[in-house]
Amino acid sequence: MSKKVVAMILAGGKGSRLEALTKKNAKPAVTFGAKYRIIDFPLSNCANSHITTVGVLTQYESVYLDQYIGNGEKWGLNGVRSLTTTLAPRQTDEGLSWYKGTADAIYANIDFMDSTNPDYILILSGDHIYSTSFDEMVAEHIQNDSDCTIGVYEVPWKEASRFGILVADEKNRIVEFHEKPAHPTSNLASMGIYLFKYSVLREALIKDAKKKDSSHDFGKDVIPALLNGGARLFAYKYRGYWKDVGTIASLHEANMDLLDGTKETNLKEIFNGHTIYTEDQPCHPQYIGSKAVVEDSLIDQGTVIHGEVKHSVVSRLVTIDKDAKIDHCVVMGNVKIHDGVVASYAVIAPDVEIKKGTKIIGDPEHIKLYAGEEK
Amino acid sequence: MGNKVLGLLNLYDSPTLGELTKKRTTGSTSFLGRYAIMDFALSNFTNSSIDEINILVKDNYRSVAKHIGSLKTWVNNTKIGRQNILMNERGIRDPKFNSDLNAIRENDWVYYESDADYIIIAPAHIITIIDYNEVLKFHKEKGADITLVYTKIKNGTKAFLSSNVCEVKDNVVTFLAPNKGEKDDISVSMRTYVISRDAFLRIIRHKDYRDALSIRMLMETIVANQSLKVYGYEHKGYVRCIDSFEHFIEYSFELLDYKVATQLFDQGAPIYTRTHSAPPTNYGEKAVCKNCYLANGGHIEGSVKNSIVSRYVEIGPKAKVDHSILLTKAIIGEGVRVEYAVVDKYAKIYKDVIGTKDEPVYVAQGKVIK
Repeated sequence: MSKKVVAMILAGGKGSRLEALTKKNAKPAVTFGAKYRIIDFPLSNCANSHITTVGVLTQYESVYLDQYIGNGEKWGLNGVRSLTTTLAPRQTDEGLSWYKGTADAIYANIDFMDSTNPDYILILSGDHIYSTSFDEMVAEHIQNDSDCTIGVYEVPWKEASRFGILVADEKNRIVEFHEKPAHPTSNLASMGIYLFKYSVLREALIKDAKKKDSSHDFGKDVIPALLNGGARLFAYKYRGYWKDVGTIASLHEANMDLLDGTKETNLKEIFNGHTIYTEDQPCHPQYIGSKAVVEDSLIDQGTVIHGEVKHSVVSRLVTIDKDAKIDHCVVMGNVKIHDGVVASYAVIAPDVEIKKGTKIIGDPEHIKLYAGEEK
Repeated sequence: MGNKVLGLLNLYDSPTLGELTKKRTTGSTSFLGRYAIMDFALSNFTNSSIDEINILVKDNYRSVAKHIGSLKTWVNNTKIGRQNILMNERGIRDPKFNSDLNAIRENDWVYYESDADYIIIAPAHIITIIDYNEVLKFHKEKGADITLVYTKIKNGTKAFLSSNVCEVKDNVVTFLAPNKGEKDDISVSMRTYVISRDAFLRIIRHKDYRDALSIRMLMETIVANQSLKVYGYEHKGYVRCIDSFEHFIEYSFELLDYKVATQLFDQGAPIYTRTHSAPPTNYGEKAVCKNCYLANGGHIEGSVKNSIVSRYVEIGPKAKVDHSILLTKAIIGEGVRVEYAVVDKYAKIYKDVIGTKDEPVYVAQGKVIK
């Protein structure tokens, strides 16, 4: 029998920099790439790594997200030996307590983790766009007899001070960790992906929970404490496409990255030979009208296009009427775009209707967010 | 719905579509890019809250089983709901007697085991949206033994040639016989029937009907003898009978007029189908696409007009596709022209394939043209 890896996905954050998109919706449930929701990526990564037990920690606007995750069926994570469940904050003997930080959220679910009898716990973030299998990371972790392996990503040096930065030796053993250093000595940024020996994680979480001055965060508290205590921490260098879509601009950019016309990347490369699984709702195939123009775009089923769509990502059940022109846009599900609308460099929130002749004009430096007219 | 209903999808009752149905049933043939033809009949069951669905399969079992997949696509409750695929195993050894009625007799355990009050039998190849709650209400109000669903058409010399003409007086079916294509304005049987489970079990074993091989023959006999009360329920709206390769093409292309398509898609009754986790369709920088239906998973780099494109189809740069139907995973090479063609699954086309409106070309599954 191979060792058992249980994944815990942190999906409780609000993502307030996504503005109106997360006003009534958790960030992991935000639409991405015409057909997907952000959390489809970490969940599909689990499926594609043959991980069969997944806990998804939800908190902010959890009703829709809980419903979306269900029993994990959308990602095939409901097979005979599988278990997928959402883990929202709960009321206990000691009262009701919200998740106070990433480490606190995992700590609050030690009973769940115990019940799944894991050898390793893989902690993932619910709001990253990347497509991978964790097999290689797990293999390295075992080979290194690592207590905790941290996924790292080489970021441009000038951006390194925005991240948690790790310094590793030639064997990838982590020797230093600095949260957002002013003068970084490395460009290896933590991706917020941690693979722990469960025994080590369990002990570290219990210790951290007792600390009064801790913010109960993996990056700020748990990892530095382990490093200071002499634990074997290793870096796993992730080389594929990876993006944290924390802002409207980065969400827009990551969507555009899927298109053929973006020279550096495209959908095929980003999906990295894997399938990303998602909800597939009944709707008719996409219909492209006789006067329509569709170039360099990704279009999902159920759409009806009579206008012009260039370099854009268009979700399910969107209608684009004649004489409407859309370029460099991300159009989320169930949007009605009427005659003569012009939208450029914009993100259109789901379920809105854009009236005849409306102009929504952004530019590459200022991506517009349209979430309906102000009431 | 109140009463429990068993839906019986009768794949025996569908005419074949020539080469296209060499390796598949008409019901499991791809339609409009993302559906199988039988999805419409199955979704009518689902949308009428029928949770026990039986599919009577004559041949090409593999193709049907592949499309049906697990039980969950068409049943509402996955514990209470049931979905069986029924074959006439004896009939395979003795094809002359491999008929729908014999397959039902062979699988009669289903009708004993079921606790359904009524059985609704429908064919796979008739594309329509119908609410069986209404038909059942009519059936009960009339106190019918059998209710036959029919529709009125204005092109009887061309359409429904594979079906029966019926005459209905005061809601009672008085005449039922094959459509010989002599008249345009006729009422035709949609080969859809409602019957109580008790009556159904009595009839399939009754000595008077022992000679009837098929349900169609049985119905003709019953109507001719007036031995049971057969009522006619008129169904109005969009109805197409896909009973030939030519009709398959004609009715597919007809839906490219989106106004026609809204008769199928805007009825508040979703069409369910097995899904495939395909990514959204990717249009390249030089893609040209006009008047088409496309399923997900495709990569369009060339031009495609007036066509229907299934999942995972690739149209290479500078390729020109017009008036064609491309099935799953077909590949159209760079610079190739394809006109008036039906390109079956997995075919790869690296040389021009040009048909005409009257003589469309069929490219077989997996064929490589270079």
